[in-house]
Amino acid sequence: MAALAAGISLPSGPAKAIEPVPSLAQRVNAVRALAQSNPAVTDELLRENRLIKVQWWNNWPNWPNWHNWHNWGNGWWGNF
Amino acid sequence: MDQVRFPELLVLQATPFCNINCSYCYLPNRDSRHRMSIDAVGVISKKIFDFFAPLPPDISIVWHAGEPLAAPVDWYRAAFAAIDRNLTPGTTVRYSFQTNGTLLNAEWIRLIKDHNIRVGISLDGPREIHDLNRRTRAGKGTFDATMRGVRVLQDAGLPFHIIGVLTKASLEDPDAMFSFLVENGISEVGFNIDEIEAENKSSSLSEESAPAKFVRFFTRLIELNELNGRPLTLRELQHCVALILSRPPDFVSTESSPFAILSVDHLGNCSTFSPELLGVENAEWSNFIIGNLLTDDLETILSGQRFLRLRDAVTRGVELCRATCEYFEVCGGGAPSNKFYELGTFEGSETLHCRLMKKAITEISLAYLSARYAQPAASTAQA
Repeated sequence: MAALAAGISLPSGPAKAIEPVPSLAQRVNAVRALAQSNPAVTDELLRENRLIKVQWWNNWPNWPNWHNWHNWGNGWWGNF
Repeated sequence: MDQVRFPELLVLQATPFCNINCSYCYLPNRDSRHRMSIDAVGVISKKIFDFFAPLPPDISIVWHAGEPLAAPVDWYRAAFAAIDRNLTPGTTVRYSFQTNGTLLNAEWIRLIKDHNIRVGISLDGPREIHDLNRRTRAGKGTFDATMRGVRVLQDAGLPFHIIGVLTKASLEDPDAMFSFLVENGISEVGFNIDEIEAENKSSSLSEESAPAKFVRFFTRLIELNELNGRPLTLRELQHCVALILSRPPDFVSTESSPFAILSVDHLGNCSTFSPELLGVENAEWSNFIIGNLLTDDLETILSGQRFLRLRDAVTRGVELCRATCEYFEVCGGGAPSNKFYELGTFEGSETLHCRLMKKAITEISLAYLSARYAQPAASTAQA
């Protein structure tokens, strides 16, 4: 209505469904699906980024368990 | 709190002093030449190790919050010996220096080699970018002195990374940044942003056009890296790729997790959450100090009002992020220090730091990963 009021002509013809923009979660999940189905590329990415699977954390009660992959290889630290 | 684990990052301040005077530095006491006593190193490390026992096999101690190399080499040899005396068998410490590099010399190289210390150099890029902000007290640029330090490390064959602070000026020319890094044999690169924090009251990146310029900068840097056979490892991309590929359940950022980071100043005062909270002045929050490891034990600190108040405020901020921001899954609640200094409260959500270092980096990383998955693996392509 605002567009009409401003004198802007709207496109004519059959109504076209506007595709909703995928949410971030959808986009992340899409990339994760690609990672699952392209293990060779995933291995390459992990190797390039020196992301190594930490085997022992599962058995370590005092250690964060939210990393499946961690770049211990080059020892980055925080945001400072 | 549910469970206290050994900090992922233990930051010790040998001295608050810094031999240079960067314009964006958040630390107010960088003129102070005080130093942590070796006795204090022993007491502090023993308290921490005893409290968190059993220790994991590898622990990491970063010397920072001031220029670490402003303390003498012999001080570190004594400090490491004091720490070693308190370690339990089966645990090794990996030390790290985050340094401006200007004081590196053969004596430091011996220490670094003897103890296999990781080194991060604070270097903002080419001279005209670096010297804009990283200056001496007399106002002179520190580029030459920092690059001398880089050469000392390279000549000794020691690996290192750099951390550069991105300002409005550095975003203008990603090609120059890429060329500078590659031509100088620098391969491990992390970027922070010119943040609004404590003493640094404004950011050159606050203007509306900054996110678009930031995305252009990183996208071009990644593009150049791909075109040239990936000579650089970019920390921001690396971190985000790890988070996207790793499906972390119920992830809360390290800076927002109690005791995931423990920062201790030269007097034994300690803080947790963002390392930038320690060493700054704030009366309302008792300078964000939750206790003193020379006089208090960690049980008392953990049940103390200062820690609990800080924890509750940070947690409410994280919950606000969780409820309102779709990037929470790959961010985990942001950086409390940025919230506090930008929004005036820990109980806020989006900051400049979020917009650039979380949202923009996530979008760049998703685009990068999508492009990579659109191509066959190099091994497959060659076969």
